[in-house]
Amino acid sequence: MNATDISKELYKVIQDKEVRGQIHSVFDNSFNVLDENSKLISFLGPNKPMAPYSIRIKEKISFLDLGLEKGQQLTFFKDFVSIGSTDIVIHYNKALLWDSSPILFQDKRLARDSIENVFTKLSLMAEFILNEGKKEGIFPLLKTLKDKIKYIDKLFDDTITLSKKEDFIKDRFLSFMDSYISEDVEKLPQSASKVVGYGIGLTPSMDDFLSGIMASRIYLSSYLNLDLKKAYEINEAIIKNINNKTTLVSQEMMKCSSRGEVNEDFRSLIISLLANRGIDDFYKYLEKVSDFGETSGTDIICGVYIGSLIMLNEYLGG
Amino acid sequence: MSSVKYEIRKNTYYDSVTLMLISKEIKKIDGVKEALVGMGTDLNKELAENLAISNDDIRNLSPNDFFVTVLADDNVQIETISAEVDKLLSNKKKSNESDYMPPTLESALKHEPESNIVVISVAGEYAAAEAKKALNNNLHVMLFSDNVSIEDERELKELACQKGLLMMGPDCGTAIINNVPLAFANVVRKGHIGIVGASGTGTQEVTVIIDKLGEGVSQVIGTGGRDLKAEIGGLMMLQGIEALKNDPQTKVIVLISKPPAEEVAEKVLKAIENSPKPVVVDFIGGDRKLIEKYGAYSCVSLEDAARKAVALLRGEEVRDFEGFSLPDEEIEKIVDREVAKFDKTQKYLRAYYTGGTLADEAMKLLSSSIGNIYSNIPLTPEYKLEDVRVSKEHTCIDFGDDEFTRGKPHPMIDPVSRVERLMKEDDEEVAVLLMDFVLGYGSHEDPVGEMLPAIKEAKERMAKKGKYLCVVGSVCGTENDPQDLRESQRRLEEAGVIVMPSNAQAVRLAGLILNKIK
Repeated sequence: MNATDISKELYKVIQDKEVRGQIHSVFDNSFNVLDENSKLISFLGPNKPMAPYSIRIKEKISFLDLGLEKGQQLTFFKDFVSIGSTDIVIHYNKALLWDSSPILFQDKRLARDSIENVFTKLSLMAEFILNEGKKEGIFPLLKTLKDKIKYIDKLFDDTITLSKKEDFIKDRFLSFMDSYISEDVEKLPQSASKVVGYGIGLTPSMDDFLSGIMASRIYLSSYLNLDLKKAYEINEAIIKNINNKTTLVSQEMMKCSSRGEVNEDFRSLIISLLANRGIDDFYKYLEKVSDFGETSGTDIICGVYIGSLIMLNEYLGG
Repeated sequence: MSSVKYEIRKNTYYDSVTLMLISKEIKKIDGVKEALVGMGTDLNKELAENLAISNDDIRNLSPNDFFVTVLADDNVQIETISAEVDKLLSNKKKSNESDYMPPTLESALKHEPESNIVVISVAGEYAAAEAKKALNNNLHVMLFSDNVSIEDERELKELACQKGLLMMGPDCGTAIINNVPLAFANVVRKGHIGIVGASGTGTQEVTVIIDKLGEGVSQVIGTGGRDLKAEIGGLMMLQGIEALKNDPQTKVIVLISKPPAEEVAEKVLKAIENSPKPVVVDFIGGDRKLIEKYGAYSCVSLEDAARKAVALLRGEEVRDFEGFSLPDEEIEKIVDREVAKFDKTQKYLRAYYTGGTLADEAMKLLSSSIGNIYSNIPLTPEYKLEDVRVSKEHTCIDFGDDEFTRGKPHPMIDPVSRVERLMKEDDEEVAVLLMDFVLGYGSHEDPVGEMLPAIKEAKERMAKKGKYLCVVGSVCGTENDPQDLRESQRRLEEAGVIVMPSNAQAVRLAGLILNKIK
C-alpha cells in the first residue's frame, strides 16, 4: 500500500531513527498506533482529512477487513512501515509532507476578513448548529451560557431541557467557563480536569468542545493581533491536568489543539471564518467538520463558535 | 425490582457513531430504566455514580475501557444487553460497506453522468444557489430545504419552466419519480394515477390509499407548499399538469393542495379544463363548486380523492366517500363502547399529528361537528394557542410546524416532541386522543414503537384517576414500506388504540365519539 500524505513532524522523527509501535485501536476508516514513547500515530483512509502525526493511505479499504488487530507490532523505517505478523507494508517515500502547524495571519497569503463579516459568519455558524448540528453532544449545555456570553441567544430555545446527565455536569461546566472567560490560568487546570472526558464517544463531547475553544483561541489571537504567548499559556492551563482523565486518542487530540494543530478540515473551517474567503468555502468546511464522528463535528463547531464569540467580545470590550 | 447490570470490554474502542447508536438502542430495551454507555473516563464513572448505576467494577475502569451500565427490571438479563451491543456492532460493520458519497454536485455528476434529477437538502440560505446550479446543468430538482425566499423560489421556477424542467420545492417533502420514492415517501405500487401535490403528508395519504385499493401511481410530483400562492402563481403545478397530460402511463390526474389563492386556483383549473384525462382535485377544504365548474372532480377528503381516482381509472361510478370502511353498525358499537367508559367530566379532543396536512384535514373535518379547535396551525387566527406547549379545550397540534422543529428533526423522523408532550400532559377532561403514524422512506424506522410507551402510560395515568383515554389513530403506510405496516397496526391495537384505515375515517370516528358524549 502507499501513503499519499504524512505529517511533517512524524516524517522527521522517522527519518531520525527507526520507530516501533503497536496497534492501539482499529476502525473501518482509520487505525491508531502507539509508539514507544506513548505517542499516538494515526493511519487514515483516503477520505479522512489529514491530522497531526498521521499518515493518509491512498487505497480505499476497510482497515477492519485487512485483519489488523490491537497489539500487532509495527516498525517504521525511513521509507515504509511494516506491520509485523501480516504482509502489509505501507510506503511513504513518495507521500506529500503535511504541516500541522497553525496557519496564522502573519502569513501574507492570508487576508483578514472584517470583524463585521466574521460576526456574520458566526451567526451563520449558529444557524448551522441549530439546523444541521447533532444535538446529543455538548449542545444542550450551551443554554447555560445564555447570560454569560453576548450574542449567543440564537442558540437557545426555552424548550431545550437538560437531561440528568447534563444536569450533573452543568455546574462544573459553568465553573470551567467562568475561569475560561476570566482567563484565570490558576483555576483553569482544576476546572478543566473536572469536565474533561464528559460524553459518549472515543473523543468525548466535552473534549471536542474544548478542542474547538482552544484552536479558536490561537487563531483569533493571531487574527486580532493579540499576544500569542498568552493564548498558548491559557491553552496549556486547560490541558495541564487532563492526563488519564480521558481516552488516549482524545488526550492527544486536545494536546495538539492547544497548540492550534488540528486536522485540515477543522483548520480550513477556522481560516474560512476569519480570512477573506468565499462564503461557499466557509459553508463547505462547516459541513465537512459536522460530519466528524457522531456528535464530534458539531461539538467542535460549538467550541469554535463559543470560543470565537468570547474572544471577539473581549476584544470589543463586550 | 430493579438492579444494576453492566458489561465491560477492557481496552476496546468503538467509534462514536456506534457508541451513540448503542446508547439509543439499549435505552429502548423493555425494562431498562436508566442507561449509560461510554468510555471509562473519570467523568463518565462519576456520572454512573450519580445516576446510581455504578459499582466497584465500573469504578475501576480506565478511560480506554468501554462500558454499558443500566438500571433495569430484574427480568432483564445482561446477556440481552450484550447481545444487543453485538448485534449493533455487526450491523454497523455491514452498513459501513458504503457507496461513494460525492461531496459536491460537480463530483456527483462526474460519478453519475447520466443523472437527470438532483435532490437538494442543504441549509436554506445556500439552497437556492445549489438549485440554480442544478437547473443550469439541465437537471430536474427536488428541493427538500426550506427557508428559501419566495423571490428565489419564483426565479428558480421561472428558470425551470424556460428549460422545461421540474423544480419541486422548496420545502418539498415527497415525490415518487419513475417508481423511486424521494425524501418522505411510501413504497407505492406502479400504476396509472399521476399526482401533483403541494402538500407532503396529504400527498402521501392519497398515494397510500391508492395502493391499499389495489392501484398504483405513475408519477408523484411535489411542488412545495407555496406553489399555489399568488407570488408563485402555481408555476410548478402547471408544469406538473402538462407533464402528466403528456405521460402515456398516466390515465388519471390528481391535484392536491391547501386552498390556493383565488386567481391561482382559476389558472390551475383552466389548465385542466378539457383535459383528455380525468382530473380529481382536492384543494383541502376549498371551493368544490369552482373545481366542478372546470369539469374536474372535487373531494371531501384525501381518502375521497384517492377513491375517486381509483374509480375513474376503473370506469366505476364516482361518488363522495364520507363514511367508513366498516359497516355502520360496527362503527356504532365502537362509539357506544368507548363512550360508556368515560367519566362525566371528559369531553375534549387532543389531536397530535406529525403530518401537517393530516392535522389540517382533521380540523377541517371536525370543526363543523365538535366546534372550534385550538391549534398551532388554527383554521382561524383567534384559535391560535397562546402557548403552543400548553393545550386548551379541543386542541390539534402539528408537531412538524416550526415551533417544534427549530433545531430538531421533523417529528416524522424523530417523534420525541410528541412523545414528551403526551408524557407531560395531564388534562383530566380529555376524552379522545387522535394520532397519525406515517411510515415510508425518510420516516423513523419505527414510529409506532416510539409512541407506544407514551400511549400506554397516558392510558394508565387516566385509569388511575378513574378516567378512560380513547386513542384513535391511522397509519399512513403500505405493505411494502420498510416499517412493517401490519405489525405496526397490530401493536397499536394491542395497546388499545382504535386503528382506522385512513386519517379521514379516524377523524370521523373521533367526531362521532365526542358528539355522543355531548
